[in-house]
Amino acid sequence: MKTKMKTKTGKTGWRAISPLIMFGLILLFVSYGISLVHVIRIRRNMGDIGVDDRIVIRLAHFLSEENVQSAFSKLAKDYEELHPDTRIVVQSVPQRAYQQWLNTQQIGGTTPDLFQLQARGDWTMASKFQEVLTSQVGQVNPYNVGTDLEGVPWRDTYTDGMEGGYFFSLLEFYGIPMTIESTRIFYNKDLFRRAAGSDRPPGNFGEWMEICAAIQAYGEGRDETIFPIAATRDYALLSGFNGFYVTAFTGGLAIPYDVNAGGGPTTQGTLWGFQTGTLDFDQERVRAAYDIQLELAENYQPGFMSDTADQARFLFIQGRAGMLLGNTYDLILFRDTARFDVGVFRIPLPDPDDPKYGRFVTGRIWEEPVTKFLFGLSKRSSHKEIALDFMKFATSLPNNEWFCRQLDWFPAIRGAETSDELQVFAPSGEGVSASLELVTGPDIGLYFDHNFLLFLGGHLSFDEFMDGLEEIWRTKGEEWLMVKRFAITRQEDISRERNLSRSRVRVLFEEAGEMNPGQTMGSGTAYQLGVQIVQAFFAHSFNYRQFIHPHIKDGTYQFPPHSLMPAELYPIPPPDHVLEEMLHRGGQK
Amino acid sequence: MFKSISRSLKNQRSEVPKHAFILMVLFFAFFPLYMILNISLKTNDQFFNDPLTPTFPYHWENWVYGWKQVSGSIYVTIFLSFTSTAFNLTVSLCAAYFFGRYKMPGGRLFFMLFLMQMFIPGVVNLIPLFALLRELHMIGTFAGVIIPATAGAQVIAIYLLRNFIEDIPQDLFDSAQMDGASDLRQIVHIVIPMCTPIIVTVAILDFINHWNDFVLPLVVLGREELYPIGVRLYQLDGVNLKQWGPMMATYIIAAIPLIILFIFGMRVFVRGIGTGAIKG
Amino acid sequence: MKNVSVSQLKYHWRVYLFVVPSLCLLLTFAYFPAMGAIYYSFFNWDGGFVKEFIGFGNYVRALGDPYVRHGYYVVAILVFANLFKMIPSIAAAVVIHRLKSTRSGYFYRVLFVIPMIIPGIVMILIWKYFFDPNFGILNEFLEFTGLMDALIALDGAFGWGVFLADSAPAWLSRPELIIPALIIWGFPWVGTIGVLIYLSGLSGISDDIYDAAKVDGAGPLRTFFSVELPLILTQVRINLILMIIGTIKEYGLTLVLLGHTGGPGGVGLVPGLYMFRRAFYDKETEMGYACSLGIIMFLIILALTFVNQKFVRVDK
Repeated sequence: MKTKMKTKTGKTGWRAISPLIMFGLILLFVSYGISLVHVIRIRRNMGDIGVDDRIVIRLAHFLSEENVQSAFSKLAKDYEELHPDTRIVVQSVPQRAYQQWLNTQQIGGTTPDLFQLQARGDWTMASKFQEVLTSQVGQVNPYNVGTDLEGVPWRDTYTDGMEGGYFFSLLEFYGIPMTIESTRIFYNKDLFRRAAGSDRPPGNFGEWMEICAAIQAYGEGRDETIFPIAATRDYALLSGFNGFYVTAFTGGLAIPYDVNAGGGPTTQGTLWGFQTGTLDFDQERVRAAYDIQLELAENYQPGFMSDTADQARFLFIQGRAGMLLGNTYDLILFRDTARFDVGVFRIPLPDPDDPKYGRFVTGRIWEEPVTKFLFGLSKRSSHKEIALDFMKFATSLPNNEWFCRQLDWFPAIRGAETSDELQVFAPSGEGVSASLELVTGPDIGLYFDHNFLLFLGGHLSFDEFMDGLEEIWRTKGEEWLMVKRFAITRQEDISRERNLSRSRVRVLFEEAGEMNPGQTMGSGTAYQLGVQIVQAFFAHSFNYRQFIHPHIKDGTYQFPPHSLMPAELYPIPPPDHVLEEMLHRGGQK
Repeated sequence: MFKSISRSLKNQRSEVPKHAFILMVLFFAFFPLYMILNISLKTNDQFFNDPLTPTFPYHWENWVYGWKQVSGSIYVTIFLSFTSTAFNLTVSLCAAYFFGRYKMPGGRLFFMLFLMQMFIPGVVNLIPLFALLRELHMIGTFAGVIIPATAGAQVIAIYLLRNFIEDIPQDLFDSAQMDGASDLRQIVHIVIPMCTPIIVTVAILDFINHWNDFVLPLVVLGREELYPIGVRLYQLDGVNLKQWGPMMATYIIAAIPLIILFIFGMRVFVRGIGTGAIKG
Repeated sequence: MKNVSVSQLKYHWRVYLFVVPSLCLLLTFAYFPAMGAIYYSFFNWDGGFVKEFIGFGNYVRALGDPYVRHGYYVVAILVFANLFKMIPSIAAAVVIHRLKSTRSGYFYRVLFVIPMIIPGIVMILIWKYFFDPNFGILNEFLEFTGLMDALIALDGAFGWGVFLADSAPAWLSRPELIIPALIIWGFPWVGTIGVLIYLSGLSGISDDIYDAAKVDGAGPLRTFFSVELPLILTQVRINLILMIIGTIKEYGLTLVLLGHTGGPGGVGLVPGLYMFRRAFYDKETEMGYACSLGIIMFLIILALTFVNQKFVRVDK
């Protein structure tokens, strides 16, 4: 028995389908057919050897602006003209998904050849997935022929010696930088003129608050909602107001907790200080740094606690907010889209004679004059030489100057010219650092994320906030900092140590060249002694970075009076003359 | 005669509040759609100053921008969605036949397994799933998107299809069996013709889900050329300064194929859902 | 349905082949990764190759974790609110069904289906825009309809300190308003699929029952409770389960509205979002913990569904 579907009209089989649906089905199959053909064609074109047999280098980054893409495209095209057998594909992945995307790409073994590095010094990922670049960066950049930098080793063509791409914890170069970033305040010159009479940026905190008040009065007077400052909920520690003021007010306070002389407090050091009671979170300097932000927060737009960066930018562009905290990447965006003049100024500090905060200011903060926008080379790339060659091309003097000028970025190469108004972005290489860092680790970070905004909004007092913070340090701090972190990283440490011993010697002593395992040089030389010292330091997990850190020029190092390590384990500092020799060489790098 | 007039008047009057209620609900349901259309024709300035009412001049270049964003991925998206849906339907139909026609030992257990899959939170699965795909060399392939997507989508399909198959009178199956028809023939000649509405419904629902999906393609495919529309839409949102107009225009254009699908499938879809699709 | 007992298997074993592909897909791509998650939940794991066995440490920590407790508390509130949010769909379906003219019924059905093409993320973005105190329209709407004054009056009575005259409440920025915002989003809470599913259940009712109800003098509401509700009860129950599961697993909504921190004070840190954060923001040390959170969530959902099956009985 067979049943056939019958429609109302009594037709059976395929005639039962109405003409409309028939048409729809035909359309469906035709479009599927076209897509199939298209897809097959794409699959055949994929892979490094494409239809035209060119070598494909893929580069991935997470700046989604159009002009970044077009600047890269132009660079790619120029390079392809020079090297017709190569194709450069530049890909932009939204920042939100970038880390996840990169993780899964790396685990899956399909990383792009060059990819933007998100966290400088993230050595867990670097040692696993990135190629060491130390030997390459010492080579000469061939694309600098005809310029002042001809014949200069690649890393020396950078204003900072390519330090931005140097991962301290691994003592190797892993990233190739392209620009210098700094955080500044952008302001609406037209609004300043109308509200405060002049578009001169404020020189100190007091003047800044006066301008803010003027803007608020202006807005009320004209019955418009205008906010002095547009803020966001991403109160990122290092590049926001919090990092700035805490550093400015507590600069230098962290030196006793800088156990490894890295220029900043170590997390263990801070924890030790907290546990022994020598480090008081609640001290007046910290309180002042938080209070100044509270005062600043009165100028923020309501709802800033849930506003994202793009919402704040929107307010600014529409002229509803007078000022906005941004970085070098924002300048061209504002220039293109805003209908008013945009100016830039550094975050103002209180004057020394400011009655409320003056006495807490320890000085202008030190901004790392290091180059950023780093690109790493994937270990699994099949065309490492070519990929690096492209980077050399991109960071040659004329190209870097052109690239940065296109995007209104601050160039990274020595001698690259930049416009006058970009000078304000030049990082100040002198200033205080080694300030307290009270927020590290996931649990403490989560607490801070939640409660700092409440504090700024006036829902939480400073004392309540600090009590909570101290509570978290007490309960979670020890667990995370001492137990978990070392447990996880123990394995990494072991493999890391192996790799470090070779490269360490090479960086210190130029004549070392390549060392093979087991190879020894003549005994009794300074070199040999240096190697022994290095290994001794190593054995005691002491990081001797300060001897090659170009920013620390001080020859002697005082061990902190108390330390987590028992005194017997302190390595004996090398004799003065060897130390001097090492420093001398280190300073030259 | 007057009685019938007054009764029809009363009928009409009693209808008014119902219509009013529905229209009010529809108004709110359509409001976001209106907003999307509205915003898509504005620049950021117009949007900021006057978000609710249409503003002149209309900026059709937003739509051009949207089209440029979407046109590259349209073929890939059609391919992925269509293939995923077809694959899903095939697999689910077979399984639903198993569950709906027969009550085999262990069948209940299997069905439990399917239902429990819904309980697994997806977030944490992502990395182990990815590692698995890597082992199977499915990273970067379309199969790596289609097959895991089906694994998740088949649950609802099986559930819906099973209900329908259960309702097919047993005699039909029995007599076909006596005529010597194998199970496969029974599916093709009995199940498919009788369950066409629900099959089409499931197909449409599944197609829509795959169309907008972005998590799996973003992570598995990894290459710009291969991304379907869902990933493109997600990428749009990561820009530093949202251009609302072009963004909304892109969403609309990305949805146009779905609209076309609806126009053709509307009748069957609405009827399919409407004829007792879900029963206990 | 044909019953096949174990003894008859040797004639019918081929039937199993029909379910094999589905089952394989399910086990490989859904359950196997989940096994991975179970395995790693006993470790400190960084998402890569480094792990350290800690036994039940993650679970112990999760049970004492205030964020976990707060998260499920919020989810409980949302589930309760979502119960009420199911009502508009049912009401809309009933009203459509009761329309005399089938043409308008069909017409409205089509109209209800159309909003389905809007991807979920777009809805959430639009609502995020609505909530903005500076240029979102929710506050304007409240003022326009006079609800704002009502809220201000209530505020005065209860002393919330949130709705004050002359100020626009920042829905996503004030800790007190975050949960209400999560509840009222999506107004009017009519889900198109839901409406269509209920309609399908109602379509089996014949007109005689309505006439009988009218003869009994039942008003519209009573008719609903005695005629329509019993017939769609199974659908309601299914939707209920799906709603509960969905609410517990949810993180996309809060991620877009509040960011990965869950908002000021962490009020909106639902368990799904907390798990997401632990897995993808703190991954160097917390991936194993995230896995354990996932397993706990799975167990909770399993328990709730079991309870639902046992105690919410429906007779046909």
